[in-house]
Amino acid sequence: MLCPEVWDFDSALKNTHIHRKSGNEILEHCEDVISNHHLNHHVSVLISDCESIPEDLSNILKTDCEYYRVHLPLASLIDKEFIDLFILAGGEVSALSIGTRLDADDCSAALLPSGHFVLSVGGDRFRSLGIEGVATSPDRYGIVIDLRKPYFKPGKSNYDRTLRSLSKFDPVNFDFIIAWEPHDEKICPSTIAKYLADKGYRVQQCQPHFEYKVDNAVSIPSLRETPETELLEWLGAHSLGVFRKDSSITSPETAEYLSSYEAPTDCTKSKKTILFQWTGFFTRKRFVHLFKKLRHYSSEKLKDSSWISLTVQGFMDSPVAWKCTPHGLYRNSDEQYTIFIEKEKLQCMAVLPSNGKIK
Amino acid sequence: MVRFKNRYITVEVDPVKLPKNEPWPLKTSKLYRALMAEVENLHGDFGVASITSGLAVKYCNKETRIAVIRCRHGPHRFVATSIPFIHNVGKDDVSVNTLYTGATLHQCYKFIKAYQENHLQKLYSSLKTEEERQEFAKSVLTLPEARNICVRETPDENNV
Amino acid sequence: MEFCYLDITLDLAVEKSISAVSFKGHVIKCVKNVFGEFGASHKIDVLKYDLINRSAIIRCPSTFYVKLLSALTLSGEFEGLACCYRLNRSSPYLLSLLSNSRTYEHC
Repeated sequence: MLCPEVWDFDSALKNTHIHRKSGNEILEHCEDVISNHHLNHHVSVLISDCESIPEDLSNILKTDCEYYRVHLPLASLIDKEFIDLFILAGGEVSALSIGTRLDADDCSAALLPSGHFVLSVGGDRFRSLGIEGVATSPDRYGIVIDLRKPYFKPGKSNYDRTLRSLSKFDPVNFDFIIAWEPHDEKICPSTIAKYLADKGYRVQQCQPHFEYKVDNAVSIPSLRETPETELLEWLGAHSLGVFRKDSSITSPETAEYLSSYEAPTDCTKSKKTILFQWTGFFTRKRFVHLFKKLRHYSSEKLKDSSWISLTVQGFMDSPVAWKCTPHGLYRNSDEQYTIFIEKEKLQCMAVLPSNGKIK
Repeated sequence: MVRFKNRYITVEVDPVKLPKNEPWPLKTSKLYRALMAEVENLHGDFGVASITSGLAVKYCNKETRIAVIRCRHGPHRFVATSIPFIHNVGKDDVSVNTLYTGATLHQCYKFIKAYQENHLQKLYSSLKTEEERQEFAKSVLTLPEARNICVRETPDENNV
Repeated sequence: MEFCYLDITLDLAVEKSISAVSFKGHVIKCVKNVFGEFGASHKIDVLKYDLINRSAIIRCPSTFYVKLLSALTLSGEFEGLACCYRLNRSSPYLLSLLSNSRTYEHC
């Protein structure tokens, strides 16, 4: 300890970039961002100025968005029959273990739509498992198994060894949330639930939680003039209801004492601002669909100076953040993105981890 | 083996109510306590905890009212920022000026000597007889206590 | 200036609702205890306060985040009652506090 550090403590939370792009390449970039974010928990859509509540948008994540909560052992996810039926046939399975904290619990697991089975395990557990993996943070290891590889099948030593280690796993059963996007529209997504129920696992159907708020006469900051950080801060403050009248604030002096936050100055008054929020578990395909709808809406019904924002957040405890990149253990923000859409042009502002750039 | 880095801060403690030429008993323990109290006020428990190991008031001169404070490199910022806010030492009102921050006591000693010589030139004019001047020069320039410390410190630092 | 946002809850030994002003006062007192006047001079904003749960969304400069968190962790008394602060979520983006996947009940 040459000089003990007592003065400057870095917050170390921020490992993200704000990308601001516009033009033609932006569309591709946005779709890339959306389809690389596999496990989604929360969506909020803000329409800054509109006449009436767009019904088609509010219904979009309501129908056929059920997901299932299943109590099953890890090994059943690499069961050959399961892989054949739901992954190799062309569908996309998204699954995530819940109630497993990434920084405190020994193991959290996820199954990505790309066909990767991802585990994040503690050091002792990793050494006893005997499966190949890489160190992601001190005494934490990430294991990625590609279930689509042709050699990953019974009879091959790799498969057998993996199955054997996962069968010995303690605790045996994990709580998973599972959603399946079939390759064929004729097949019902609930097939996976039936399959798992037939196997004897406890299956519970879950619905995404939906709510919306309408605010009248809100000052909306201009998308072009306001700096990114201020815009994101305003969006967060509005979504959380910071501007709403509160009983805890009794006088202007109290408000001044409590907070020095000021909204951006460059604002326009809007008649009606709508905020949609969905919470639950969503597959990436839903968002590609939602994004298309939003673009369609913006080009047809959106007023000239107004804009739409789409914010998507992942799970704090998922073992991966983007694609297959391991989730930062001590950082909280590398699993979300925000996209802004204007009437004519599309503007993307994505909050991305700086180490896992999307190209 | 890496040695501990220290910082030595040379300060001038000026009692506001006393005239300049009157000797004022400046005690190391009193200055230490005043410093601790001020760091606790300004930087809280964290500041006190950071500076406690290594903090010492090494030398006080009652003639010249100069003191040297030793602290660890790193937490020395807590000490340095608190020094201007010290207004009491014991029961006396004081104002404290930071004169010099050095990495070794020897450097501080060199600085004090130069500073005193400079100071002496200014005071010479106020003294009338030659004997008075010689007496005064002796008391200011020899810095008896300072030399003692330096002699004790030097082999120490070489060893560590 | 870069900010950090924290979603914190004050747990008290006895169920009691406290006002937003005394909540912020207590946060500042905690900071002052541990980091003195210098720490208390940092700007801490209570953006939103929930009277019933005593939970708040607060904002601080990101350079002060670590110190604020340690000061809140070390606090143990609110007006004579045993208390502790719980950090629900923290993030450099306010938007992240919209949801908490850790406490969400899937049903």
